[in-house]
Amino acid sequence: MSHFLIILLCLLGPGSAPRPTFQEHINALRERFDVVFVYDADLDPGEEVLPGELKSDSLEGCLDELLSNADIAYMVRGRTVVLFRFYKRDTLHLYHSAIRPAMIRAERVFRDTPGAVPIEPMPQMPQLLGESDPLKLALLSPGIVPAAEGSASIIVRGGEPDGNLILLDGVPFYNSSHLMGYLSVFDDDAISKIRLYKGHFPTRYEGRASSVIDAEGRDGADDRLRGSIGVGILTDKLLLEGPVGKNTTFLISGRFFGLGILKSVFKVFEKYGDYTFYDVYGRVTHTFSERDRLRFTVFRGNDHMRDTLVSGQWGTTLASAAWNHRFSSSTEATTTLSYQHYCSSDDNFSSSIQDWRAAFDASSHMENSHTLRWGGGYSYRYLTPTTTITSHHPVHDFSAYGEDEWRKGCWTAVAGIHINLYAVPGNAYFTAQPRLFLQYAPDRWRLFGSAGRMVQPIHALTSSQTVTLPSDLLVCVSGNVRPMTSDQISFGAEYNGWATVTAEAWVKRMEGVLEYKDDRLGHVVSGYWQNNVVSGEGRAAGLEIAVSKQPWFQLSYTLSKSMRRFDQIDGGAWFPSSNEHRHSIVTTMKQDITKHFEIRELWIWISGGYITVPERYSFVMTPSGQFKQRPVYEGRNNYQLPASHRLDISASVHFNGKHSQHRLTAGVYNVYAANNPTFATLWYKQNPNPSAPDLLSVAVISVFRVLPSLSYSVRF
Amino acid sequence: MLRSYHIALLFILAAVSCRPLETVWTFPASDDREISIQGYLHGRDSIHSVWCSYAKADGAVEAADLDVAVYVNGKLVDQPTSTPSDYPYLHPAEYTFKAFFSPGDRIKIKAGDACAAISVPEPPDTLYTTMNVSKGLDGVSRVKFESKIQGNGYYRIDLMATVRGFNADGHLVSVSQVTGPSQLFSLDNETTVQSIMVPLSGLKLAQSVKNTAYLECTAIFRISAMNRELFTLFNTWAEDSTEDIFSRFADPVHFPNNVQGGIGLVDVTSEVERSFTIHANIK
Repeated sequence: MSHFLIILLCLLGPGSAPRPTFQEHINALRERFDVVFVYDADLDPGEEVLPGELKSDSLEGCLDELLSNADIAYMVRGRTVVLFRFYKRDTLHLYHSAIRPAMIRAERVFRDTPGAVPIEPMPQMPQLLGESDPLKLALLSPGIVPAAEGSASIIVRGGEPDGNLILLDGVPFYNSSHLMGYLSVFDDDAISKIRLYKGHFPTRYEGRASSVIDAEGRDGADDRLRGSIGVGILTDKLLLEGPVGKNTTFLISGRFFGLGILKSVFKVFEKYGDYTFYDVYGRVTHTFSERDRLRFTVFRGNDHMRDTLVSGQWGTTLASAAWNHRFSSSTEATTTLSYQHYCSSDDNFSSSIQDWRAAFDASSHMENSHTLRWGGGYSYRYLTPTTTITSHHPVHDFSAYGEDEWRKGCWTAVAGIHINLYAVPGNAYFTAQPRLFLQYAPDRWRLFGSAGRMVQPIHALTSSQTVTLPSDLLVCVSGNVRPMTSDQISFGAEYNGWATVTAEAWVKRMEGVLEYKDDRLGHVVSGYWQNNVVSGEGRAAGLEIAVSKQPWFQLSYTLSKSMRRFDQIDGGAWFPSSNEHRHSIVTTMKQDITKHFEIRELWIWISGGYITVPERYSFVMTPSGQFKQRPVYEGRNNYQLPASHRLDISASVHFNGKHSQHRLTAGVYNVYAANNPTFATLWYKQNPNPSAPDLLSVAVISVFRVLPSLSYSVRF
Repeated sequence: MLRSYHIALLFILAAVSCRPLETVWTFPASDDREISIQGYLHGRDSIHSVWCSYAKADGAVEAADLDVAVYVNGKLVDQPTSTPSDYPYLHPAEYTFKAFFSPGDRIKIKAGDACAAISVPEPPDTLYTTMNVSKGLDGVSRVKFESKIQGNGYYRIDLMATVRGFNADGHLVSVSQVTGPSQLFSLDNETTVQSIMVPLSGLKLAQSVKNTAYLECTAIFRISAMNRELFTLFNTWAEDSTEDIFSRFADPVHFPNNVQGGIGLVDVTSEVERSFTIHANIK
């Protein structure tokens, strides 16, 4: 790999690209970081003071480079960048006091869809084994906790791990994880933006109960062939992008676990097991005219594991085509066709889902401050969960939605409804999902509230709460299993001063929550999964507080409670969800040591989740008529694990070659070696009574302690 | 060289990062105890046993001092007793009784304050059962049973066979007992008929005996109907890996319970059997 890297760098050689103009720089930044620029038309510093290329990975870094020799200052507010000329430092102070409140209002005009929390890919952030994963950055937002230590699977506002609608270029993923859930399929080099929705959900989204994570791939560069190479402990990455002809661009990226350092471990212990995974993402965009644009997306990812416990594989194949047509300057529509095949299997079980989808989304900005969004779609899914017997579940999903967004002065209101018809053999379920969002934003304050319903027809029946396994079954509504619904009300306030302070409270009620009758065992009990699940209800509530001074500092705290109840479990009593984490605190800090050297810290404290522990021992007869002593469990989730906390630190150096940008990131995960429970397990301590069995105990295994990492990437 | 570096680095990573088990909770010592009743009753038998013990925090112990009563359709049929053993932590106390069961009978077993009540399930309808002999790529004969079964419940198939090998003169040269793998399956209102294939393993050994010209295989094909709890228990044992060191990462399994006022599982099965004899030339 390293030889290949050196050869490729040599091939890059000296180039002869012309120096970009100020407008070209602005256009490039707008595309790259998905931001809106606000500045006077005559604001041009002149080419002589502009750099040739912007080499930083961050928006602020690029702006610093761009404007370092110009009399122009900038201010970043959310996704809006305001540029203004200044001549003396004193005028900047005046600007802050007089103009800034107006800018904050301007920002809200340009602000993204109400309810969206933008997640910006940040390769500089300290992450497990140095593997940059944009999905894990969702944890920086309050109300979100990982499903397990180090996991990319998240739990949003007391929901379930399968309750997150994860979209790539508008197509939902059924399993977005690699490496048993410790890494997501998203390569941040290929992703332009990710938006997270956890309170108010735009009406066009449906299909999951807890959250929406909408990832949009990046168009390929339209000026010349570009690329990047990344080498890390876990994976090696390659990305190539560029123009094909005048109006077509392409981007292809791939990640491979098989060349990296960790792969050597599996080779050393080959007789105990092996693991490989890869993913490839490709995107071709063709612009017919200013009005028409066509985009093709393909994705293929696969994991294959073999060890002493289980062998199996899972993977996703996805292809989509989206045609965007602009009818006028205010009206546009996108038509999307997609196909996806997800399958997983191990020695005993398999799960497969094929999804054909056609969708139409339109939006129209009216002159009277209204924005109308409407659309619909049809999806045909064919699920084949297999235990001892394969069952077949065709699902026809018809949907339509309409939404009106109205902005007037300080007020923003969004109201809409999404209706679905799920047709399955023997039954049909009609659902209506109303959504409402209201915001009042005078000057520095913003008060907002939302209410809405989400419906979830797909469930992942998992055999382990900690990791993703090939034995997890994807199931859907059927003749006797209804869709799950989640009703949420939230309200909050935000203050934009020296820092941004946000507080939000929410309450949620869930119906149709699925659970195995016999806990995690149900998937082996019968050939028909419907016979082994029970449907119940859930309720959750929480308070989220966040203080941020972007990009330097962020602190968030969440207080939440999540309960479940099933008529056939524990006599119908309420019990805590295994995903409940009562308190969570997340802080991040960034320090620029020099222009090319920065340090980031991340500290997390999360209350422990709940597990079921036994009450006593009993003799149990085996099928052959012998007896063994086994623990007896009473009650569900009757023990709370200890809290987990850790500090992660990373240092990043970025420097520029003649036609390349280099980044070297070193990090340490869990610096002070906290014993966080990665796995909880039963253990046996010696019994003082020598003739009696050992005493049963719960023990935790802390896998991720003081894990250093090193990664290197080069862009050209 | 590169690989050595990788291995060394990872060894260091593993050594400093992974921490052995840390106990965070131990079951508190307590004198509380709960009566446990265990028993698999077979509808075809007339002598049955149930086993009783006390489930405790520091380990289960036999319960030989209980008043046990057996009722069939509300009528008391027996009051068995048991004698204490020298190893109370190794085995529960056995209570043996005599009773005859028919499908639909209600059986109630009381042991102290604990009680288990079960119904004798209906045996399955076997629409047909066939036995086929085929030769594999390795030249070894294979026997497979196929049965089409109709019902609505939980079932297990057991296959037991006696294989006799004969030489060309018709003299017996070998006798072996072979079995097929037990198979568990369920039928419900949506799928009431199921075809089950059961391969008979162990024939290769019988065919490897010198001078064997043909085999005579006498097989008993047994289908047992059971209640959901026993079906779950059998599956639970398949999933149980408590004694496997690698199972520490697995979520705990829960054994089913159908004893009121105590714990444990008592169930009764109804069986149907089909026997076959087949001759297979192996030359």
